[in-house]
Amino acid sequence: MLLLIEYFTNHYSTGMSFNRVLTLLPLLLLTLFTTAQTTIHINGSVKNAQSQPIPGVSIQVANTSNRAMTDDNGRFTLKVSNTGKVQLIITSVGFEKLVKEVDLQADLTLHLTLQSNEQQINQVEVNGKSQTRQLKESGFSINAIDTKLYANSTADLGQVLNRTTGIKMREQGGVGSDFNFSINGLSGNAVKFFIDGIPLDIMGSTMTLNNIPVNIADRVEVYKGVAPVSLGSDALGGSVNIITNQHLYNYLDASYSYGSFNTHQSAINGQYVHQPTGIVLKLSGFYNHSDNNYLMKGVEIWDNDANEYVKKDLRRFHDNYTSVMGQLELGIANKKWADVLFIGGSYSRFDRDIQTGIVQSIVYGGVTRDGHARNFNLRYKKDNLLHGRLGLNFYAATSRDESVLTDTTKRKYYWDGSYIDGNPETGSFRVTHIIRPRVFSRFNANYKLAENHHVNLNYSFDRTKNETYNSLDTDVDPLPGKIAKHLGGLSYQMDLFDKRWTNTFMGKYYGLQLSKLQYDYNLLKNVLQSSFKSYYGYGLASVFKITPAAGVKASFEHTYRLQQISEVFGDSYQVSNNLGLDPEASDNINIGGFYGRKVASHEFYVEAAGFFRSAKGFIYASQSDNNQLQYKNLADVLVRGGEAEIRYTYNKLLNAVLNITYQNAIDNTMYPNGSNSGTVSATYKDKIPNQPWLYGNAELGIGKNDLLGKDTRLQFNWSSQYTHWYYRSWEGFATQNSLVTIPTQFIHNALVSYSMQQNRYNISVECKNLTNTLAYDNFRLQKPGRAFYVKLRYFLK
Amino acid sequence: MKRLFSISSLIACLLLLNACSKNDDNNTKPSTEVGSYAMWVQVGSWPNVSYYIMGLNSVTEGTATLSGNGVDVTSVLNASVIKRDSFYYYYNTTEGRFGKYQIVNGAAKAIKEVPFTNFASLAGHTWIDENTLVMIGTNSAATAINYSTVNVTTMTITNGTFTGLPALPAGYNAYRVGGDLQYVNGNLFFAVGFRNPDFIMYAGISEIQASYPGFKIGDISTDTRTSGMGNTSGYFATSFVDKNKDMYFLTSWVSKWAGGTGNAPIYIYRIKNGETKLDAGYHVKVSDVVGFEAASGLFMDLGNGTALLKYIISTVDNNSTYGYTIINLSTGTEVKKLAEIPAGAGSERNVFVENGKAYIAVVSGQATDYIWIYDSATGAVTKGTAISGGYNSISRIERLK
Repeated sequence: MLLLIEYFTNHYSTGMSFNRVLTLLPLLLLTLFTTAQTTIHINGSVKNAQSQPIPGVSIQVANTSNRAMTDDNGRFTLKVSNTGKVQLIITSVGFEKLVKEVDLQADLTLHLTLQSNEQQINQVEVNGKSQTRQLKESGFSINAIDTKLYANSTADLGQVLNRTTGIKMREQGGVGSDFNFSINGLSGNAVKFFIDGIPLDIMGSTMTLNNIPVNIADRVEVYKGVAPVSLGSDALGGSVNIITNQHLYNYLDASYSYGSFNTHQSAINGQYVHQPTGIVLKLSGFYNHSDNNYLMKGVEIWDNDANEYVKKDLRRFHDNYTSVMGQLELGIANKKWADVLFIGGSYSRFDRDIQTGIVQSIVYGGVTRDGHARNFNLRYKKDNLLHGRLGLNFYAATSRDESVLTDTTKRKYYWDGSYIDGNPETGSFRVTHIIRPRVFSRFNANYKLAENHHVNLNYSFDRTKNETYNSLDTDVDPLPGKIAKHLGGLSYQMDLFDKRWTNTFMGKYYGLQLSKLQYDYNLLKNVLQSSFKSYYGYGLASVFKITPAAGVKASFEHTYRLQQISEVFGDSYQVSNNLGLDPEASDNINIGGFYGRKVASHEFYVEAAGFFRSAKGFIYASQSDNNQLQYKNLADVLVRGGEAEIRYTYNKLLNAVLNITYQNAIDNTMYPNGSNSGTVSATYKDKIPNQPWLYGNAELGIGKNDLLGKDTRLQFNWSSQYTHWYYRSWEGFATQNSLVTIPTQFIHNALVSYSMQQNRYNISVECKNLTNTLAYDNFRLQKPGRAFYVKLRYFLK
Repeated sequence: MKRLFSISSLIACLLLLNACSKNDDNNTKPSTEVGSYAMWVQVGSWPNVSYYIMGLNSVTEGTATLSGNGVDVTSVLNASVIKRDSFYYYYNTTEGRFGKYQIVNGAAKAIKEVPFTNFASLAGHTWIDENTLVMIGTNSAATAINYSTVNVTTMTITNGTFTGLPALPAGYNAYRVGGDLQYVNGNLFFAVGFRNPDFIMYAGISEIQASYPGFKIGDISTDTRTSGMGNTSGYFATSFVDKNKDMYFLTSWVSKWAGGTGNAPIYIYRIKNGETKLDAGYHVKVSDVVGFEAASGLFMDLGNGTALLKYIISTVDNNSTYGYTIINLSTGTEVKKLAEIPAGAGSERNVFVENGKAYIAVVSGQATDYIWIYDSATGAVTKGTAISGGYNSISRIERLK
């Protein structure tokens, strides 16, 4: 795999590949349009017993690889080239298999009904391909996680994603702590988060991955390096898209858990559909609280009698975290003029005590960060316009996010809660307000040019005003800034050779509008500074299915992370302008393959991929003489790596997952201090420190139906996460005695759950960090030790 | 099927092997002692910038390289340390502690650390004698100026606050205290300025004379030519007492003044031996004498009536390059620029002086960097130890033992 990446790297560097693809594109199109042939079309729909459409159903001609899948409205089209009697096999997760014989003489229409099989929904799909597996087998490099499999766990979305390939979520502490989320070695601003295709932070700063319970989501998709145009964003390293339940049936999922460190987590997610009128009411929300008072091992406190610092095991004392979110949507569905039309609103808030600085020897006892946000939105969707060729999707939202960082104690705290008078804990005596009113809209159109040829057009407009002020000095930001992003995308997807080869070509536009008031000391007044810049990205995703169960794929994208307003315009005082600042840019390549096989009741699925990232111009502040700062494009990074995962399922009894990720990130910054010439940097081509580079996960699940009564299931899950040790600083320079490492971590978790009445009532007991291992993702920032949780869940469908 | 089992077995073995080998690379091994000299270098690109103390056995010959030779002090110490003999003293503001450290077995070892929060940050220091260190800085709101006396043997600290400072002018809410702190003839001297909430400085400085050990403020002399002041925080060296017991100081570091329209010019001032006020006839504007503005913070006594001064050659795209010149202290004139030394990138305390010779470590961006040696007795500039480079900056260079 790495050889393949090397090959791509070398050829990529000549700068010719994409141009050649562009040149060949019209020729390919012409060939494909002229090769259409006469066939029999089976059109139809698949519904459940309640006459609700079922998406993702597989309709396959028996003993052939010819098959189709239903769309979001349960509709499908299957082409068959020979006449006569054939058997169709209809399968879907959660439903009994249906076999139907049809006599093909001319085009025909079928309306099929599947009977529910509630037990099956908690299993890895066996016959029909689940939606997550279909995603994995697309041209993009995707981690698709079916969160229903974790519904009885107390894990948050971040912890679930952290168990998948290429993902590393490094937390600074317990529930609600800051974290760094990386995809294939790129992190921070390089990764963007979405919920149903909409930027997650529209719902406020409460909505972070380590805060959202698994029960809120239906599945999560992680696009690594290359993202479809429908996720309109400047995501340099990848995108995470949380998908909520979009099906139009009644359901209610309510859960509550309690555990160590006074941790309460509850979630509710439900929908009511009034079938006669098509009116739909959706409700979701969560509440989290934790004292996070876990034991810190071997931390220093001052011993007055001994006149020295001594080490003790002490509990965290200033780390309470509470978050709450509620969302309500009211709409109408299945009308001629709209598949769905919803108006909705959400409110979220969080209250957080901050316990430490960047290392655990910086102890805070009074610093807090609180915030709240509200959001109003409208969404509209209509498919099957223009004789089924056109689908439209529109979303608009307005939101306001406010957060306050308070540091007014002027004390130096110690781990036993004692303190001495001193300076502000974070360095500034402040009550800093950050207010971000925001307007966001997104338009997406999907048009079928011809059978197997689709184009997708996406445009999003995102404008945020940023006000920051210290309320101890002033009540308003005198110099607010505005940032507006116009993001456009156009993609063309072609399905060739009976959908065995799918190519998606993408072009993206990034328009960045920045404006900020700045004080002009010569004119003695505020002056509005503004700029507008345009950038263009492009990409390609391709998958070729050698057999229905095996395929190879590759994807490429030239992408950006746009500049932030403070990086371009500074602050009028200590940070000076840099109007010539470029966005961070990256060329991302993925190459991979997958293979699935079923032998009797044994099913295997294996996937492997290699990845390459060449990111240039990371933006950091550089300090000049006289303490002036200016943001510049200072650092380049090259990441190469590989990842692999194998899954095994045996009937409904056993499932296992094993995965491993290796990434080699090197400093590609040739000259120090942002220079373009001179002495080559001492760290050029060295491995980047303070970053995990080898990690893996293992999961084992054993469960049995009807063991303790009819319609029950007893399930036991074990998971282990391994992270190999890594250097905190550069490897080649330090003496052995001063070279600091982040040690290897091997964390184990176990869960037992018992479900009754076909998963309606669930109870589970979970132990995280079973062996009570001293764990930390970041240097000297301990994470919780062994913790126990009990979770009750009610699920009605 | 066999292939699938092979792949899964391989992954499992990899995981197990890694689990077993976790401590093998983590063993600490005895390291060679750090050399006679220490050079602090910064390497890497943000956010992976690391700070190392590179040990050198010589500053006059050979080649210095960091490989396996740097004491990684990232998150332990920074270049603002106060150095005396073979010890470093460091005020860690974020952890609220003051410590005494030594390089032992290739690592920075804490000899003694004590809680300390007396300053928002360390502005300046001076030595009363080899055992007594005096430091100054503002309180957290910069509304008062505090001092601390440290017995560096026992690491006991006595704290206090100056009374009788000049009042803050209307519209100015904070003091800035100069780190040009020096101890001469039983007196402490330091400069005080005032800033407004927009960090713009009041036009003028006040030079304070205070008694030691009473810390009682006596004479206050003022000058309105600049609003800058010196800095002996540890990062920089901008003041000294020469062999005649005359005190000189350079008024960097500067800030915006005149309503924010520009930076205050940098001057050299003097307090003559036996006096307690600024020498009214001695105000050397660096840009007039050198033709360039002084850099932030390098003005060192060479011992023979001259001093070395770092100046800014040019600033392009927020990046400055620096040169070095020799100043005749008594006349306040330039002796000569050290043209043999290539223009270098930003560094802080990249010079040390010993026996009339200045050792200047320069990051030039050229193929090979050097420690340049200026001999004040002969006026000659020669190349010393070569530096195998690619470093972002050289923060400090000093004799360690």
